Amino acid sequence: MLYRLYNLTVSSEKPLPWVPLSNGTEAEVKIRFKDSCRTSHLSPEWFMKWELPDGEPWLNLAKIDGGYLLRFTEFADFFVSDSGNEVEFMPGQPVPEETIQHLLLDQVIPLVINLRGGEALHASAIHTSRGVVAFAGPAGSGKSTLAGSFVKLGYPFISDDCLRLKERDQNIYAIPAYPGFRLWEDAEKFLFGGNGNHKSVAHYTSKLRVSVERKPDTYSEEPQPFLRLYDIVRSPETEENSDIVIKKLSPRESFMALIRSAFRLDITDRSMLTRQFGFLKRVVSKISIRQLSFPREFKLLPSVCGSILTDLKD
Amino acid sequence: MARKITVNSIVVATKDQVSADLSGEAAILNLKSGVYFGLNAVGASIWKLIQEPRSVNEINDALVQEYDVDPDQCEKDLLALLEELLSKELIEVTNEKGP
Repeated sequence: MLYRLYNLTVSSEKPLPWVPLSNGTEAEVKIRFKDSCRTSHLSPEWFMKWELPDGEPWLNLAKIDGGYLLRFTEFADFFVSDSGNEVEFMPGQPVPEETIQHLLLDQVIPLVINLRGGEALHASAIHTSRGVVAFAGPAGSGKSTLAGSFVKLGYPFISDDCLRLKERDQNIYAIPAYPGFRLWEDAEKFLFGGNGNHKSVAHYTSKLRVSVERKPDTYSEEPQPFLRLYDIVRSPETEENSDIVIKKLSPRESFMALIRSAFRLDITDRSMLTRQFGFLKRVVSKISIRQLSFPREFKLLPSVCGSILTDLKD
Repeated sequence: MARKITVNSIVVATKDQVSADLSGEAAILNLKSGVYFGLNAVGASIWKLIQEPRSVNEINDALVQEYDVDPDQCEKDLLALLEELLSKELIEVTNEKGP
């Protein structure tokens, strides 16, 4: 079966229920699922170790023969070929299907995009009449909730947690991911009424998967011009502040905000680092980036959206 | 032991980096470590100057001429920034004997 995921034509041995089918004829990325883990005995030299905010190990990355090994420490290994054309899932222990889908769609494929020469930001995005507006920030800052608030207001959805960017005719375009996003239970209840139809994202989180209808007014299928990025900040100072604050960032601050949110598979790959550096420099020259802080109260989300819509006129 | 930067030191940007001029400010990427570093307008001026080997004194004089700043404070801030750039392996330092 062929799917359209982040504008890539992807084949998968297992159904990807959240991802639209593709009209393409040839897969750019082939996804295979194994029953056992052929790499579990490997203890390679990890060049990157990601931890969860509580310090628990999450994902280790290493270069191995023919590609990269991505080890989600508790759950599974993924092998990604050097070319980024092949992805192989191998369970480290019995893993629920929804967890496999989440790791694949939302964690592995964004890194594959980077390996294949593309760029993606850790950001959620929606489409406005002025262009695509994205929200970046650390885990738990409210990226998905804010995007969900705009979806509730009727703005077409673009992506959740991974925004692929592409340069075309010297402009930057935002590439739709797939029509679904992920919310904490309380946010889902506030925004969409907690109707109980939403599926679990993964067995280790209480987040829920919210699907978006594939209609032009709810999900933007085609790449759209990228207009603005809001970098959400949370600190003791912003927590105490009861105001919605939007601040224009300097080019340097904008660049560093982009760097913080960019997906990078191999930080030891100099050509990739140099390519991404140049790309993000061009993004800064074309896209306006703002810092956003707002009180953590669901009832204020419509006001946050309103402030952003007003700011977009500037 | 870490190399101490003095006003007589000669400093130059390492080759193992790429940098971007961002409307007068700058960002640098250390290609060896993958670490990024941002510089404000004054820092970017210093960065431009040290694309060629220069003494700290020479850089300080250039900054005092360009900005309305107390020379002693400027020297202190300059040394602090250079120490930071050195700790991130973005500059090379040669110490020469003072006059």
